[in-house]
Amino acid sequence: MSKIKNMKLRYKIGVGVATAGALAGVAGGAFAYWTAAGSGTGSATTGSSSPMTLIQDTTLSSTQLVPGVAAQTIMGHQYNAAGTTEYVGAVTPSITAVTETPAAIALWGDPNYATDAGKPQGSAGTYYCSTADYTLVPSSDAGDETVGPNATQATSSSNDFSLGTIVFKDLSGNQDACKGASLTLSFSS
Amino acid sequence: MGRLTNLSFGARAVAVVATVAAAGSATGFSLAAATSSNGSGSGNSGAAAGAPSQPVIGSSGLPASPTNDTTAKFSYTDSRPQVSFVCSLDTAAFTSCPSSGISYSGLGNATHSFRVEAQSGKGPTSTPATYTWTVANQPFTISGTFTAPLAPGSPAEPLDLSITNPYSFTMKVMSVSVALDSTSKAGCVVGDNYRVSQYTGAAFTVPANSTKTLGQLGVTPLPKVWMLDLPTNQDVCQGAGVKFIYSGSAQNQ
Repeated sequence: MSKIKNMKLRYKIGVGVATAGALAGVAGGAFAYWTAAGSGTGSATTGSSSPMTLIQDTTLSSTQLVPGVAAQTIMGHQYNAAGTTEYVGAVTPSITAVTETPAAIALWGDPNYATDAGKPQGSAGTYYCSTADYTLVPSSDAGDETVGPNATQATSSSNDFSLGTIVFKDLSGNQDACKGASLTLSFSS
Repeated sequence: MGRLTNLSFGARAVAVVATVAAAGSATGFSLAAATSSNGSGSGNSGAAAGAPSQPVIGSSGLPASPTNDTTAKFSYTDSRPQVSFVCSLDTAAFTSCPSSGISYSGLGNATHSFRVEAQSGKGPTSTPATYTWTVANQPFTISGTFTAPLAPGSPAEPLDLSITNPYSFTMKVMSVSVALDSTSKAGCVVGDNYRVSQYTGAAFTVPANSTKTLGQLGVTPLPKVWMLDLPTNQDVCQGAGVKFIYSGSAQNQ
């Protein structure tokens, strides 16, 4: 409990006016200097995980993920199914699956079967195309995105934001297993 | 309610109300907020014929108004020697009080009124001299709940605090601050995950006996609260309550 402190008193004597017929005589004045402390408590609640969805807007073509091509930015926007305004913090992209073409699987092995032996040595020390053939970099501009309750953020130049960048590594080995491969990306925040 | 000390009891003569002309001049005082009165105290509309002149309350040592002090001491004199005095605090009946003065202690947070009358023998009493002042020694209250979403990377949102002025006079708030205290979840360290910005504006006033938000008072910039977006996993903070401690200072205008 806070308490009152440092009370100071100062008096200032003045001269009053006598009023005929009244008993008021010489009057004085004083200034009181009073202080008080204030206190209290408050609270806030941190949000829990909500069904916020990041929607990828950018579709990467086969010509954008080839050795020697610069990193491609993956743009996206959001859908908020929660009843409250939600925010998206920094987005971390990842590759959850690499799906080769049937021809590549036949030739180089299936990346979903790590023991798929007997195939020629592929890139990144594997027999097949894998996540090791790609570099994903988290976005630096996400983290201040806001979507109102039960709303989808409109796709626009102002709303869309980078979910990260992806580049196909230019490795010294044979990366033919990645030709035509499909990547499944996921984003977390 | 105050407690009388140094009080000697005695009979008080009933004053006979009469209209008289001015009985002469007297010396008195007044305070900026406190009030004193010669000839207009409640309970008497005038002094009876033959009554002593209105006593004068001494200005030395008077309680300021407002004041944090829950004690008060009064001295009083009368132009006529050998008179006795009767005193009253607030609504209490007049009782004999020593000519050397009277002290009160344990005064509550309220506006108090001290009255003193002079009496010669068992004759009629004079018009009362009155002094009114306000005791205010309880803290004022700051409250407020942050309702905006709080999540990693959430933007700083304002915390519109409410200030309750419990006093009967306008209060000038000199400072308000918000401190992070704790979270409701172990492992979610409040200082690591949350931040507040302080109110840095000028002093502002809150009307007497009222509760106002900073927004209602037009006070800016409001304190703000946000959650940091750390490179580490902050899932432990999901659903965590965050407690704030508010503090401030005020003075009379």
